[in-house]
Amino acid sequence: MKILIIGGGEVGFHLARILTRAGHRIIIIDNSPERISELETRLDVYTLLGNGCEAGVLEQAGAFSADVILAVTSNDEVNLLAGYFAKEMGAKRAIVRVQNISRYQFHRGFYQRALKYDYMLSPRELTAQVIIEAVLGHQASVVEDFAGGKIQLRQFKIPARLPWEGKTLSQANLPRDCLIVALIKNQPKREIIIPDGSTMVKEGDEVLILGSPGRVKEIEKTFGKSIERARKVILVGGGGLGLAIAQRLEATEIDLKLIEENKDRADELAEILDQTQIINGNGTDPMLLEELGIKSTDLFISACGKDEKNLLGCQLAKKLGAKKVIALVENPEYVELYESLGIDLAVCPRRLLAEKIIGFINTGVVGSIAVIEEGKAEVIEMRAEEKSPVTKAPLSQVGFPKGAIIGVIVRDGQVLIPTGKDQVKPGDICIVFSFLKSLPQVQKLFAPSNKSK
Amino acid sequence: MNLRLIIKILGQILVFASFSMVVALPWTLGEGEEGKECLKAFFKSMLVGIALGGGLWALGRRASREFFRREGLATVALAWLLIAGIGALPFYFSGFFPGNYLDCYFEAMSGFTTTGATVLDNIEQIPKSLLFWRAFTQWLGGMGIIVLFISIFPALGIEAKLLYQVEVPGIEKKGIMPRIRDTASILWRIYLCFTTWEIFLLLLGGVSFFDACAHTFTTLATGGFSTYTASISGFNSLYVELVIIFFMFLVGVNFSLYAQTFQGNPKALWKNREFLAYLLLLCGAVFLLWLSLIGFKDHHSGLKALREAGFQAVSIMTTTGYTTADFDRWNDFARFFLLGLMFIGGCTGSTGGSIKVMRIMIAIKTAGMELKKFFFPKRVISLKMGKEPVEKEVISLVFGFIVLFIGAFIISTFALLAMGLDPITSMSATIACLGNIGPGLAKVGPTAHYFHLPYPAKALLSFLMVLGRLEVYPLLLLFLSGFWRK
Repeated sequence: MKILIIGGGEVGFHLARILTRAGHRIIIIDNSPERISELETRLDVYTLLGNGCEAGVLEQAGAFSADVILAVTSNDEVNLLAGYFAKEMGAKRAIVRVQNISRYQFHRGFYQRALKYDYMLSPRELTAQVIIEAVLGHQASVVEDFAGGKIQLRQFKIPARLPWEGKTLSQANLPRDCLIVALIKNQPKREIIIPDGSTMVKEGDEVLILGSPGRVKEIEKTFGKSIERARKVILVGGGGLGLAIAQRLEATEIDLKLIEENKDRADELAEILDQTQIINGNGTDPMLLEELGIKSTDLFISACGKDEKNLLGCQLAKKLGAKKVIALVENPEYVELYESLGIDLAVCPRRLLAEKIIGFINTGVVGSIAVIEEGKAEVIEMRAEEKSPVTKAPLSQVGFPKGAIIGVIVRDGQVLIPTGKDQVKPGDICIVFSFLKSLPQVQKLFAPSNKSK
Repeated sequence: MNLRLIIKILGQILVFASFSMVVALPWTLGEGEEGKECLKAFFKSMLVGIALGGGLWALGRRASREFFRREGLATVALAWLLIAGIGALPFYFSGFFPGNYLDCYFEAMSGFTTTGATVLDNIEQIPKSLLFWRAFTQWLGGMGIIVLFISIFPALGIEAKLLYQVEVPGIEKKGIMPRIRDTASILWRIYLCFTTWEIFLLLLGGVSFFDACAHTFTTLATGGFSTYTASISGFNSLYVELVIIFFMFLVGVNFSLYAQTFQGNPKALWKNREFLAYLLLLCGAVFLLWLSLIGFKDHHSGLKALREAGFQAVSIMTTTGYTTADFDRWNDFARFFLLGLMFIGGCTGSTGGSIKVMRIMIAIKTAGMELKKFFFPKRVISLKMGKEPVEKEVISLVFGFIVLFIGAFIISTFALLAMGLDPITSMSATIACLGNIGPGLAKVGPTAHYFHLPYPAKALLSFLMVLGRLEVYPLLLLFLSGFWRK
């Protein structure tokens, strides 16, 4: 494959190294002459000096015949523009890196259509996901926010002695404003189904629930014992990543203490977060850690911007009695080193990004907001436009595919659980659960019918 | 220094080089007893080569993957020294060559480095298969045997690029394709295309298939080995001379310009400053040489003088080293003018050797720039090739190269003088080997050969050939003690 990488920094370098080993032909564009000569001696790639969002440079790099464009500079605008230009020139697929995906979340569909990229990735988001999975263990493997946090998607395992065990869903008396969009059966074999009123839920099944965060939490409580005793977590570093992690964990029963060094930032965090205890202090201060009860802490996460501080903090926490420690590493080369130094899990944003991109290149699966069961199904956020076919008739009549369901409609900030009688209006944001095979049909329904067609 | 990996790659290259002897085997047929002797010699050589290469390969099989620039430099330098050792074996085992193994090594090194200096005084006596192998070594060495190796064996990654950068002559070491393997294979495809073209044209001129192949191999590599003692004058055909002049000129041009031309950018050639300078220099050289031949009355016929001046000037400047006249008997201006041309060579990225047009251009332009700055020190000038600025690092590399090249020339000249050779022979033998040209003046002139030189001189000259072919730096690094330190 011919792959064009824009930005030869650590991410670009790491990607290029893996991809050249897999036999792909790589062209790297970077605007620093020093970086270019460095890449030139260390990689078997073709390098080009210049700005990746200049049409002339892209043309010279052969963007028109590229199979994949990876725009991975540290500048969002450059990446988005480069991806757009390259796609316009004829590149087959474009993946763009952004710093903070939540900036784009609300209008994700719009951005994707307008800027033509295929996949938007943010190292911070990926890192948060990995850390949250580590915190939650296997309990709730999917926690996703949609529509700017108004809707949450959760995956639960049905425990024994559930009040509505053995009943059909229509008898279970679920609250009105949430919906079980999918049911993952474990017996007799693992499969995903879209449930209707007559579906029975058994112990050991898993359910995917969409609803407002408050409701979802209530349901979680009805599961009672499915949640282990509250786990104690200490998180160091309240930057963008720390905040993202804390926000996701707010919805759970986890006892989270967030240590932030900067007083102003700590105040800011306290305003945003409700359940989390914010502590203004130094994460490498042994006294403070002991005071916070490090001995009985299940998990210590150090995710501030400085590698050495993360390493030191984690080693300290481990020595003081934390059961498990997770450290953030900026430099991809250090991951193995950290793990040999007694860190249970070293998480490197750039490396995660590279792995995700490699996975995309190898499998070709288009990204989604939440990938269920290793990509068999997805939950995506779609925005209905003027003239989208889906707005033409009530849901039962627009020809919605069998393998997909609209879980929630967000209209003017209000959450709505649709029935067959409801009709989608232009401007609505729909959270759709869909099997992979039904995805193209869903996308067609939401696409603004083009005048030229 | 990752010695294991160096040894492994060296082993692979040696096995590859030994296998390439297969091409000479068909020519052992129909040669009677001599043919059988040669067949035996080739089999023995391949056996030795494959055993040695395979042994090294096995020794380095558990090598780790660290491969940096210094490993690349060491691999290429050692590979060239060893390949000539293997390539010399058929000459040695066959027993048709005069002297001992060092003579055969000199001949093989002269082959792979595309020099064309020979120890043979009567080439027609040597069996066809050996002559074919002798020509084929030049063809392999011309575009670079390691570059060919890279384009055929896909297992190498960044190693391939580092090897390529060391072996390819010139200043611009960047590939023309994303993967260096693709760059290597494009260069070789252009080379193959020229090869078939020239063989075809020579066959049209009534040259036998054997001679056409052998001369094509040595023209395209700017090598200069002929199957006749009298070199190209053995054909006595204007047509053959014109075809050969054309191809010598063609391969003296940067091959990446041809690649661009084939990729749909035909103007690249005519916009390239180096190419234009090369063209101008050649025309000027032919003209001056012709004037001197007429002026000093070496020839009475102007046309004959033009024919000889044209062939000799192109052959010497592109560092091929074919001859159609004994230029050592010309007037002194012409003799030393040719000696001067030996320092120029072809374009960067061509198969020609010596200093190369681009380096000379950069050196002269820098000198001019310094001159302008000398009377107005506050002036800021950027050195440009066409419209492209030349980086400061490149300029200092060019000067470093020229100093080392001239330094090697001076030291070696004195060394040969100390061995009792006369000054003109010493000087011309040195530059003819260092610049990969072949024939020099006086005792190593167009009608003479290198056999009569003392053995230390042959060893020194063999070394100069690789030094020139690999453009000085890689080989000299082998002798730097800090280079091998862990």
